[in-house]
Amino acid sequence: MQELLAKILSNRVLRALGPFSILIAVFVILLVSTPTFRNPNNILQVLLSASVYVMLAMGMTFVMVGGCIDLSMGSIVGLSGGVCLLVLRHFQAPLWIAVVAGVVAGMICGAVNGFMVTKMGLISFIATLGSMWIFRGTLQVISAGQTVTVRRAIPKPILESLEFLGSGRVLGIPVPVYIFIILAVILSFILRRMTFGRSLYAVGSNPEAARMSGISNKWTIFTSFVLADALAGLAGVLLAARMVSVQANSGDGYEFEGIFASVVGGTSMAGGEGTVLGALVGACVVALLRNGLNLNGVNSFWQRIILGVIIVIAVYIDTLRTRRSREGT
Amino acid sequence: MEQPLLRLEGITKRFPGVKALDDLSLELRAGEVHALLGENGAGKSTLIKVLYGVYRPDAGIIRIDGRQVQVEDAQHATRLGIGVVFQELNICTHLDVANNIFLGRPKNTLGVIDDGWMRREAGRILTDTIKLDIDPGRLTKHLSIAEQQMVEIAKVVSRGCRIIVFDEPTSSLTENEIEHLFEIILDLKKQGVGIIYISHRLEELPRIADRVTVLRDGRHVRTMAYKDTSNDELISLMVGRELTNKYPRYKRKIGDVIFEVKNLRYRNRLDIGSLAVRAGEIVGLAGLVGAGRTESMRALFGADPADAKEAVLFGKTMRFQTPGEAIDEGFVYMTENRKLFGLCLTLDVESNINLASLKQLSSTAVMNERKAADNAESFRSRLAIKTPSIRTKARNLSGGNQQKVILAKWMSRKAKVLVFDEPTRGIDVGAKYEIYKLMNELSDQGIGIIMISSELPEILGMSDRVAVYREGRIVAILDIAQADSALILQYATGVKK
Repeated sequence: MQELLAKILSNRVLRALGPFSILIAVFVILLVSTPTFRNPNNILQVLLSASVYVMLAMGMTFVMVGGCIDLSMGSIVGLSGGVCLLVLRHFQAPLWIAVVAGVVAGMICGAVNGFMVTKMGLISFIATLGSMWIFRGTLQVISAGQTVTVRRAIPKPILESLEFLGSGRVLGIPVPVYIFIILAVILSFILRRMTFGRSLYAVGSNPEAARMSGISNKWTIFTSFVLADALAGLAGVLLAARMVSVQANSGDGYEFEGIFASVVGGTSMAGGEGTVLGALVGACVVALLRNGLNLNGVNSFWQRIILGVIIVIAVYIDTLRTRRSREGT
Repeated sequence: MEQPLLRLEGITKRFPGVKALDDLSLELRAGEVHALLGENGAGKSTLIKVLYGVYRPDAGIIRIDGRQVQVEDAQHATRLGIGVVFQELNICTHLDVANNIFLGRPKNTLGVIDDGWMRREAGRILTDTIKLDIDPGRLTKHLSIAEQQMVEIAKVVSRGCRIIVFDEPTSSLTENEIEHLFEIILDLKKQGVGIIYISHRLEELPRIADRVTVLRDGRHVRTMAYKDTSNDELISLMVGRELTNKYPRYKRKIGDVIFEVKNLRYRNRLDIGSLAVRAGEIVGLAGLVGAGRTESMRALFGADPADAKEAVLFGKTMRFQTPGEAIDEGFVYMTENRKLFGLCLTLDVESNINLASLKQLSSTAVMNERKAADNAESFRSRLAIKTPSIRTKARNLSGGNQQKVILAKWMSRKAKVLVFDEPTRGIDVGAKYEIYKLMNELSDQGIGIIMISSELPEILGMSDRVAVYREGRIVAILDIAQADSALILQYATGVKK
């Protein structure tokens, strides 16, 4: 049974289609089973919520291709969203400065993570478990534990442009969707076509071989964290722009969606494998599942159980696949 | 007629795209050492895995004492009396010797482990079966590779296995340790255990083999008594053609000194005064395992720390801090363990070939995909790398072809000085010959080559000069005309100083 399953999974066509087939299956099931799902507005809503997941998933994929993991992403979403709104409120700054501030906050978090992993030599799981608390605590300190809101605190034009960034539409499609599509193209190029991406795959696949080939593992891993957490920062900014406020627990647990989407999208837990397209598709799967479960009145407690079961299955499939390809010579 | 201990009849095992075993039959008698020979990919490993229950054969019958059995998994194999001492040892290094010997079946009362009993019993097993005085309470990670292997053997023997497979047991042992291993094997033989012995080292066979079976492409080629054959015949059976010369003799054009190692020291482990390499020359580094050959080259390459080091390349003195610096200057070190250090198995052939040349194949950090593919393709045809495509993952290649991929990786960087660390370990005779030819080609281009090898014939067959290491020092540098294996061994073991 296990062997048969593994055999099916190692089929090349199926592997390439893998994430897509899951996406299509979930989509079709929802189309058929849930009338409210078919509403075009609902589908746009799904895309909007997917946009945050896509950022996280793409970032997480970079980190995981390098053989690491980043548990602090959810906290970074909250922190950088908070930074963005606080900059708006305190300095009455133009929107672009606030956005840059949020993204830079994410990058600094990434540099902290990268420092712990490369310079201090910590395992990324533990390092980012610690920084998850550090970053969350930082948000609570700078916001004094209060919800940060900018409504009625900033000039109207700035508020409107903030709302436009978070949930405005162009040609009927939400602005964040354009952002994630453009970013996906750029990131895919970085991962596949640039020396940094090539190095990242090599470091994740076999760190020793990469090092002996003259690649600087530390620099590569460090950069992957900075890049990934810049994306988490941008996700936080978009989320803050959509909500026009940031709560002390904003983004809490979002690292789960990032890991979920990456793994469903075909990224290997062992490093060295994964694509931006897979992350994008995986993130859409998460958004669809959440939406579908909501529409069908499944409460959030059960949603946790269901998503938890799915990620265990996805990792199990990944394990079967790698085990099989290791044995089959 | 007496029943053979083990009998394989018409075993076939297919993998996607390959028939790893093709209608293979084999017979093992009690109390014999049956050597199994074949090039890499001939099916030896697959055969063991079928025997050990890792793979289920697609066709064929396994009989033990004439009774047909189906091996379900490794535990079942053990119950049937089949034991395997794998090349890559199955030792839990954080457990002590006794717990390793009783791994999977610790002596316990209601789940409470009885360490005292296990240690006493393990001590008895160790002295009885492998005649080795190891403290059963020691952690296995503090043992040498040879001792770990002995523990593994003790484990297999203590389970009452009557069929024991040794998979390349001598590949990381020194001469003395090999001698000890052979004594154990002969002892097992006297007790009526049937032994399947797999090795690439034909020179070992006269000392232990009763019969030999040669496999090729998953098929049985011939089984014969060892005394009725010769190593030359065995080699030609293995490769399916006559091999007249194992080392392509070549008249090298040797130029001036282009590279010199000077004053390389690390704690009390390394102390190298000087070693020079001339253009187009192959300098062999001989010595026992652990004499510091690999360590000295890794330190020089910037991969490991050193207290002092100088690399003089074309008159310029350098101290490489990272492998990247060394490679940029044209000093390249090819690691010994392919899977551990050399290859990214999950990546494709093209990525692996271009791994060290990312800068050269890109402009402002953007890869030139066309150039990268062309480079990989050109090396694929130049080195005759057997792969369906450059997009095939490296893990799907055979050992010899993996080695060629690594070679291609370094050749595409136009090295001036190349270090080969055990370039032909674990690869088959045919692929070895091709690697030697490549080394000659490289030396023809004026590249200086340092070759670390534990196989003396290889050192003697390929080198122009031989540097002998002992305990972190170079004790002799011999011209090939005056070097022979006896002399090298005398220096390496300290008989001669």
